[in-house]
Amino acid sequence: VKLTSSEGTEFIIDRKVAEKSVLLKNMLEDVGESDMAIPLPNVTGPILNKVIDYCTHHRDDPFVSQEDDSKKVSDDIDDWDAEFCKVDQGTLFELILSANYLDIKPLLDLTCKTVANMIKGKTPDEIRKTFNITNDFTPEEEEHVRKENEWCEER
Amino acid sequence: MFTVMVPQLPPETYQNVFRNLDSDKKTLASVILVNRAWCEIAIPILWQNPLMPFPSFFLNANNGNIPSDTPIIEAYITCLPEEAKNKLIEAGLESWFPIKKRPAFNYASYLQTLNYRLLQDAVNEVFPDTISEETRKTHVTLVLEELCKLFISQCANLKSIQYVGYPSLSPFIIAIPSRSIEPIFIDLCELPGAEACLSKLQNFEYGGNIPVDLLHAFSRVVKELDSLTITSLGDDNEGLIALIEAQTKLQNVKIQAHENIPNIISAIQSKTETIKKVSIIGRTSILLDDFCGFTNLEELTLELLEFPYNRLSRHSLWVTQAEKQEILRRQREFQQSFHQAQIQYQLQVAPVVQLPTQQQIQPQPQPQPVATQNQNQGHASQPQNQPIPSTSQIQNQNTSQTQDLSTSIFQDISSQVQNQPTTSTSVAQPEDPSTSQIQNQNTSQTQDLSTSIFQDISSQVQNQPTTSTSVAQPEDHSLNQIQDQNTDQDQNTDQDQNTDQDQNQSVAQTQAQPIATNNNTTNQTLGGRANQVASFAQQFVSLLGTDHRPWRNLYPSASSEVECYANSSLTKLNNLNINLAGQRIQQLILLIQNTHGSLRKIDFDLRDPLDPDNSGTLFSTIAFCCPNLTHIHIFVSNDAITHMPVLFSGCPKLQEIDLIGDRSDEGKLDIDDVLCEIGSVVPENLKFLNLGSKAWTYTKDSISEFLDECETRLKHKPCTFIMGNHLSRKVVERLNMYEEKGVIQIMVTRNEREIFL
Repeated sequence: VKLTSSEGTEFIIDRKVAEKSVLLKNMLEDVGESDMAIPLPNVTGPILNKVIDYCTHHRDDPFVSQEDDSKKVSDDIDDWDAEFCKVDQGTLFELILSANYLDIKPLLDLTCKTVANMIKGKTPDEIRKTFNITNDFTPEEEEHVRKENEWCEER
Repeated sequence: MFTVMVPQLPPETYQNVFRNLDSDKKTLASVILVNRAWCEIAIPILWQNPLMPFPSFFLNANNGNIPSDTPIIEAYITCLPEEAKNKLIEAGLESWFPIKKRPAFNYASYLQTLNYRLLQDAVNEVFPDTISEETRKTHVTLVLEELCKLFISQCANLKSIQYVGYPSLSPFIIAIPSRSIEPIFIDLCELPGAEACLSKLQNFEYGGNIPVDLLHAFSRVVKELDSLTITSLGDDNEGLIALIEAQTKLQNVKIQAHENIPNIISAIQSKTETIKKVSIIGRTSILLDDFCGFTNLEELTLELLEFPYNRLSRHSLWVTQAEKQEILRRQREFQQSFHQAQIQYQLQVAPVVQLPTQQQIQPQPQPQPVATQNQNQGHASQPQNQPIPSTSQIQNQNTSQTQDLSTSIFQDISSQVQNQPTTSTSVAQPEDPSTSQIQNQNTSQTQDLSTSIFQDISSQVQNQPTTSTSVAQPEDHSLNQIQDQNTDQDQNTDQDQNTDQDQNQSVAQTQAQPIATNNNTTNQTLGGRANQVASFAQQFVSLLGTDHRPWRNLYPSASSEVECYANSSLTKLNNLNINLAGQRIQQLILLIQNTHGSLRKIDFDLRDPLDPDNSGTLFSTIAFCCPNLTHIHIFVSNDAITHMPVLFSGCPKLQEIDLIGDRSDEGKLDIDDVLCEIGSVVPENLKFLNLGSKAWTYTKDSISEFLDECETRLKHKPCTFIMGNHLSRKVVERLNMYEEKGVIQIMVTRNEREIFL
């Protein structure tokens, strides 16, 4: 299967690897085998390369359906996956967007878990700094929300 | 300042991120205060199930203090419509909690799991101790009614209703509220909007003693449950049966029961087309037969378990060596402080009693915990310190070990005879076996019987008339008989060794012989292990090709339950946990065959089976019918131990192998020979291995040979390796060496008391 990234870089991968993406799987089923490259305008070359790495490593894993929403645990990432996610924040977010666009649930779950782990145990201020976020609450709003939800701080 | 350009994520992606923090409320409390966008995404997650029982680890970490649910109830009360708020004000409740306040969010609308019992307890907690019981009940009923109306009218995503205080199927402990009142049942189905809200309900948890009328009302509205959990049964189960029978999509049933439940089982049996998972736990009479008609079954758990049900998971019993040392240190500290406290108590409370002198205190030995003693034994008491079994014990063991048939197929007989010091298992002995042992072993190696079993079967199948439906077979073709024949043959191995009988009888002759007279064996000398495996596999595949249930016709048809399994077809079953007593292994064998390779996880603990002789066949069945198996936890009797190589080679996808040895014998069983066999066939994806850590032993050389193979073959290293505490110092040193090399990660066992330290 041929894929083209947003800059026009061409990638050739096995159909089994491509089918880890529900988007590509459906496309291939609709169109059938073809020499035409599938354009992926939302994915850059380096990110597509990473996504292909992931799909190749997990090519034999059983399929996880969207409905399979079992209890999520954020600390059960295996070694290879943990190493795979050791990237800068920009790349990690690009991977999330690509996994979302290509509909690769295990990759989306993995990258989201990684972001969740980056948030774990942090104060609101620390989270804002980590993700470069501006606080747009008014002091009254913030206090109101904090007061009504302070029960969860002791759990 | 350089700023990294981080792309914006869509809200649904943040939702996915925050769902990972569902159980980490503290972090979610931070998340909601980051900014407005994050707050709007995280609040619904935080409030989807705020009234939850507290897990035991939380209570342990929190000194048993249960955080109050009152702020949650107060927030819900602020979400009530004006009319309801006025009712509460008119009832004079404003003095107990703020009613008129406006909430920042409509928290009630996010509820996905309504635990009715916890809700009632939480409402009850809002009121102080000072009010009378009667007033309390009136107030609680009023607030409960209004909150239920609120939930039923506002919750668009209510998925689950629990009528149980604490879900005892999960690892939660029972934390009883300081005050509790009699259950007040409100008929949710009568409330405005009930049909729209409850008809989408997916999960229902029933804890017994719910009014029958209420369950009948649910059965009229709730018809699309995905999951039903029964944690205890009431006096009258008619309502529950009506609820089960009303379901059209029921997939998952979990039951805990102390009593027999034939009516419930019958109701569940009417849902065989939709049910995918069944779990029945408790002291109830469960029969495997009840489930052979569930053609869509994916998971079956049948466990005979004493109260309390929430037993600890196996994995929580294993810790690294360093963690174990830390536990033991804490245990010593605890004992010392406890001892000090005892002395202080004596000093304070019983001053009239003559104080013990230091001498009197000192000699009292501090009770050593079992684990500490074991740990000490692990290094100090070596196998040589253990009672050496008597000659008769050894003989008995060797005799029973030779009862194994099919494993020897995988032994390259000629090379074993030349190269291997031992092949039959023996009780832990000095590493050099005696000459007589070797002689005996070598003789037994030449008696490869299992090939003949399958040749027997093969020839039977091939010889059957093609028009035969192959249900009724001559009685002398039963597998039992063949097994008996072979068992007899094996049991006579010692005699055979001595008499060197002619072992070249034809298969047909073997079949035709009556059981009692079939003492002869067939000698199969195959070229090499690979050829043997291939040959065996080929025969097995050819059998499968002829009949998908190769042994089906070979069982006696006297037992209807066996026949019922012969006709079962659980081809979607991938997870099978059977922890029962008094069952037929034969049934399991048939069940496994009829899965046609779908099984991925097996967890068997079969106590007092009716047909213990079939345990070896169970092993070979797993090996040849479960090529996709990834996890196995199974008790291995001493007789069946030689089937391990077959298991390892027949199930190449295994990731977790948890083998429990027989601890009933005094000595530890030496598995050196088996270790030599399994190294070359160890599954490549193995991540966890427990080689009978409490019952088996091995020498440093054999474990080294095995771990060398692991080092070469395993894709994921280190592999978790459970180390017994009875191994010799040299073996422990060797294992530590392989841990340092990164081949294994050693784990040792801790007992249940130590978990809380």
